[in-house]
Amino acid sequence: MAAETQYTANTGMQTISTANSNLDGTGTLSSAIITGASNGTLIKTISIKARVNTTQGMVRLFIYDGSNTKLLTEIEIPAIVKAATDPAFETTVAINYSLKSGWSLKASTQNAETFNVIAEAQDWVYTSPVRAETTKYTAYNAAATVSTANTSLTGSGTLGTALISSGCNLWSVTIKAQGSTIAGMVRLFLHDGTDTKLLREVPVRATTQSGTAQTFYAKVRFENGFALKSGWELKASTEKGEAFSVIAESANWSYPALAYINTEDSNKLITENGYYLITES
Amino acid sequence: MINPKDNSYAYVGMKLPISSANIENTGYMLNEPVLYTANNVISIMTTGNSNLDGTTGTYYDNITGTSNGTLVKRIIIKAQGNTSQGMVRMFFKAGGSVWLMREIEVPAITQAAVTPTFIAIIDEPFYLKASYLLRFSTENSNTIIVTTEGVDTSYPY
Repeated sequence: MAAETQYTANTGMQTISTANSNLDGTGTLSSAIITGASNGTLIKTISIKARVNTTQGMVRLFIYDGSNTKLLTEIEIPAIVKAATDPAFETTVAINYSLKSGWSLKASTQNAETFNVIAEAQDWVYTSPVRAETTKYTAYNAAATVSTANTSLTGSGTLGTALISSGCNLWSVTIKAQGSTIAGMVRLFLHDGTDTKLLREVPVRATTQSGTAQTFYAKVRFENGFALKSGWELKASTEKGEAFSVIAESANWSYPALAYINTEDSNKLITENGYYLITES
Repeated sequence: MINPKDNSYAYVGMKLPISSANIENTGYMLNEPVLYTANNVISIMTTGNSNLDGTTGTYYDNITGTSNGTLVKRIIIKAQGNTSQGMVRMFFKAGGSVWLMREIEVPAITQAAVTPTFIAIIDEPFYLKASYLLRFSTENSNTIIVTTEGVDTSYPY
């Protein structure tokens, strides 16, 4: 019987701002964004979110093996002028890169502009005895109202906590104004318990609410979900002092414990719910 | 043992909640056998309510998440007669807190033998946690029926 693979959400983030045009791994790089766990870490996506205006340039991702630093990929950065109603540059790149244990991912920026680099990843371990199907998903929703104006892109000021992860896959975030709006922005942040970094910006258009005119509505979908590490939080803010519902839709996952029930019939397992499972040899 | 490489069929047309369930088509991390139980709820709204706070005035509680969560697949909003221009509002209720989640504009329609009444369909699946619910209201005192089509998910083993 093969060993079972179990996954744990892992998320890492760093901020880069010092210009570095080198492709050889020299010069200023970020600290490790994420480091491979015991069996390795699957980096699913990298989100790059500018906190300032950008000029045409590049963000580079490097792999560091403890001694050497090698260029992994480059992400082109366009020139974008941000405003209270115009989001700064953001992109999410699916890289699906399996990172060796102890190795780490780093980043640099061509131009001296501030970017958050956020890695969405999953560590894995092997357990036995096992069977192929062992994952359970449980819906997990949480919500917050944000209403205090906050123009910061750094995570300072008033934020609302929309979700606290216990190791979940974030599926969507619904943003719904609770009244009339003027043009502005709702911002989504990740908080790791210490640092808070901007993940997404959602432009808000001006609307006048009435019995026949609906308020502003937007839904941020995370294609393939966003695996958020246990203990991390999704936070939100509003550019203008207007109330918004921020509703998160996610799924927790777990691996039910299995245990042998006797030695006479060692291929018979019992689950946490008391059901018997017959395994194949 | 049947060990399919793709279990997306199990989600009744939805994409998998956990993309990594099918990492590189290895078949690893497959889902436990899931038991789906149909869950349909019908609310008939008649009392107008212009509030957006989810607590003041008349509301109609609809589908509630159960067990490992309820997948709300579709919401059908259908007037039972004439409508005046207004709004249907959907709220997300978690414990004692309620948040406005969605508004659906209702046009003025005079029903006739050849003129159907207002209908709107929200075809965006939403995974609802156990004990949390969706609540509705109507701006005007028109008779509007909200039918939700959901499936409760649970794990029998």
